[in-house]
Amino acid sequence: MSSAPEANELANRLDRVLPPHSQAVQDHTAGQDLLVDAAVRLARGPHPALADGIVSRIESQVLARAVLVSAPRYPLRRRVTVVARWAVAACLVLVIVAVSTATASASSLPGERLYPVKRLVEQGRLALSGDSGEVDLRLKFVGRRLDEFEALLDQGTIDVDPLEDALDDMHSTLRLVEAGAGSVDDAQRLVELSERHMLLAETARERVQTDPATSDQLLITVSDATEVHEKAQQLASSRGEPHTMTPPIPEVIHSFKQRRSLEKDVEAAPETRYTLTSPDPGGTAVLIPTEAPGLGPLHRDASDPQILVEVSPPPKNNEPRAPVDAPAPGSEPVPGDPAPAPDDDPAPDPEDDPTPKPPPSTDPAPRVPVDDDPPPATPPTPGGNRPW
Amino acid sequence: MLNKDEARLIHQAQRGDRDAIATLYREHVQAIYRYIGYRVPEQPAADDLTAEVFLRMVEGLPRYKQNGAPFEAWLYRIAAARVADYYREQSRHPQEELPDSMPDHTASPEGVLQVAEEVSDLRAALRQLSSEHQDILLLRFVERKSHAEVAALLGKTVTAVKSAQHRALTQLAERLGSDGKIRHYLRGFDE
Repeated sequence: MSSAPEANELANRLDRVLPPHSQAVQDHTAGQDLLVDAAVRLARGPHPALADGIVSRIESQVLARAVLVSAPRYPLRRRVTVVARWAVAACLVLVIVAVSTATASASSLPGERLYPVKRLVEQGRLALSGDSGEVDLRLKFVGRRLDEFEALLDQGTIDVDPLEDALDDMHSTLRLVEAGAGSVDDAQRLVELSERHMLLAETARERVQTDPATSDQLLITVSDATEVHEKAQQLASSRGEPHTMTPPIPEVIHSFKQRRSLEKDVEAAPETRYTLTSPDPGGTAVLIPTEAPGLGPLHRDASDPQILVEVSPPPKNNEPRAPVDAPAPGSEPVPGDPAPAPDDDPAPDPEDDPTPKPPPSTDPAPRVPVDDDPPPATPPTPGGNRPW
Repeated sequence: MLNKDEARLIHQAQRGDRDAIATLYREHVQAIYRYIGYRVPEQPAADDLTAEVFLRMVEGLPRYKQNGAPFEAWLYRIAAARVADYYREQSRHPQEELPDSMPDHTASPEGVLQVAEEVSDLRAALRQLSSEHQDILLLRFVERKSHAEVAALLGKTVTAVKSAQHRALTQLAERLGSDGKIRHYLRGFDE
């Protein structure tokens, strides 16, 4: 039986001769210390090594197995038989008989008593849906999870679960859209939802700087949402829609936040009508007056890929103003602006944008505004602009 | 302690990201194979057991909870369980133990044979130790983990690891003998 001092002494000798995280054998003379000799002999090897061909063969097996295994944390969609689907539907009829409970649960938040009922109803709707219906439902559920997270955040609670559940649905939606079950609009909705996800997570991270574990969890969700965002953008652009020029993270977040604060400026100055353009590749959101005292309306030069904002002289007294090409305030579908979810729920979907939304502009030209205002100097997250 | 990059990789793998799964596999496959290769003499069996570890990793990923312990600790536990199953099966259907198959590292046939014999002796001596002692010696001297890392992987204190290491090396040295040849103390004869 070894004593603690002997064991410590041996451990120290071994650390000198066979230092950790190194293949070196240092200052060792065989025959003087049998225990160290045995350790050195073991350390020197040769060690078993898996041949490259077998490594690849096993990798193929592992990846094939991964396809069969359901990955999401909430595996809401499984391979069920038609009979099982109808069985689920029959059970749901019994559950939905308690309509008041289901209706009351629609506005519940995580942690509340009726929240599990809300999730159960969602699962039932998914089970009854086909692939295209599932895409729409999942996008709606993503919006709900983000609403729940935001509602809890407003109450001072940061619960990462809704963000992670939203990511599960976003990933599922992405797979369905990639498989052809969703449309370009669905991909675009996914782009917008993922941007909202990132904004909410970053906002929450600013409040939990003293809680590294939660901050790290939020960071991971931001990273995942970034991936979804990029893939959804590719899907939206690869199917014929003009590519939305969205700056890379975190510039989108900066622009998004900047847009928020600028929108408040617009509300505060109703006597001057402004249009907030899309962020340019450098991430700057530009506030351009569409009409302002002393200035005429603005229009774009369609022959130049860079949008030139030209200010025409103000009209003379009785002259009508020249037609305005720039859209009315709030009419541009700005990247990052979350599309309002279809309004067929008992609970109203909260709207981020307080301004009324006229029909979207039909202007097909890409919008690249003049680089006017610099992005914010101070990034929102500690450690620099790219927290990851 | 799980670093942020690995935590993110695991998160992605749990969501079915094939690249993340492949990266986790490639990062750990040789270490797990070395562990199993020392514990199990037959190479084909070691290959199969290694594959099983990672198939179980993929199946278990959705339920895996990141609790701060190293991810490889989970893989080693799976590997140890597969090795234990292997020996249970062996005890039910005993087969003659084949000598360790070795790659050719030297030019001369005599050199090859000598290396093969020395390695075979060492591994045979190691396999006579308890599972716990084998784990400690393999993690410390083959994987060159620190004592603290070995303790974290095995769920023990550093003091316990050092004590067990002392006993393990004492037994290993006795089995190897002063001339380096293996002694089968349990069988009661010297080679």
